[in-house]
Amino acid sequence: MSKQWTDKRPMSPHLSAWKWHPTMLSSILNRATGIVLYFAVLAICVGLAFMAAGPEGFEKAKSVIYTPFGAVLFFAFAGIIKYHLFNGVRHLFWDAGKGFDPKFSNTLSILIIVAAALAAAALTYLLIGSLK
Amino acid sequence: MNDLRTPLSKVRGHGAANEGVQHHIAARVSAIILALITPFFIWGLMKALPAGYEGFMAWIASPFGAFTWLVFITAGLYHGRLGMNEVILDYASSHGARTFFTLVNMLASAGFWLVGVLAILKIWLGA
Repeated sequence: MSKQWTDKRPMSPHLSAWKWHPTMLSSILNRATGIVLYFAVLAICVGLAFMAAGPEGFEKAKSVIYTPFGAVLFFAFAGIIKYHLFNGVRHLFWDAGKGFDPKFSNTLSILIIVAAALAAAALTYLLIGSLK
Repeated sequence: MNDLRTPLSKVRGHGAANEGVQHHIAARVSAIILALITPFFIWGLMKALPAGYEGFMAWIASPFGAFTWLVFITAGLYHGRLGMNEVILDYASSHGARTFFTLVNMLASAGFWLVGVLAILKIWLGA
């Protein structure tokens, strides 16, 4: 790929220009979670079509959904969507010109990651509790 | 002398790429809609999952559930397409690759959206 790279613009993320810092991690995560969510919603649309066709597809999927692996999948999905949601709200504040202080930004980056993980853990805990 | 346009009007809306304001605003509007609907989507998912297939059907068949689903996948795929377009423009290495992948992105988001919407309408309206 790099052989045929003709674009003169610098390629993101600018790892040669920036030292690692939490805001950089949050930016990379924002894009990564966004890509995963896009494919997740595409897959959800296919899932909807199976659901609309009848219970057979769901019966088969049950052997994945209601297992520990299903709980891990739910935790991952919940964490990814919560992260993108929380960080997206921060992006809206950035658009309004607020929250650019580097120190605060770095702290908030960590807090958002922790909050998303905690929210995902709480949701997974609630879900497992309600499955009984 | 004959130019009646102000310098400001000539540059307004023109970033380095001569476009992008519409993209920026569209991404923000769909983001706000998603931020509002996602909690309802997660809440509905949490309620439906323990009840299995019937739970999902009852959720999607309820007017508010159908509304949640329609808004979620519409705003979600629109927002996702905009975001994926940015990724493609960042990393596709040639003009041809950019054209190809942005086209695939458009067709995939529109096609899967249609599949999802038809499924929701079928469950909701029982067609």
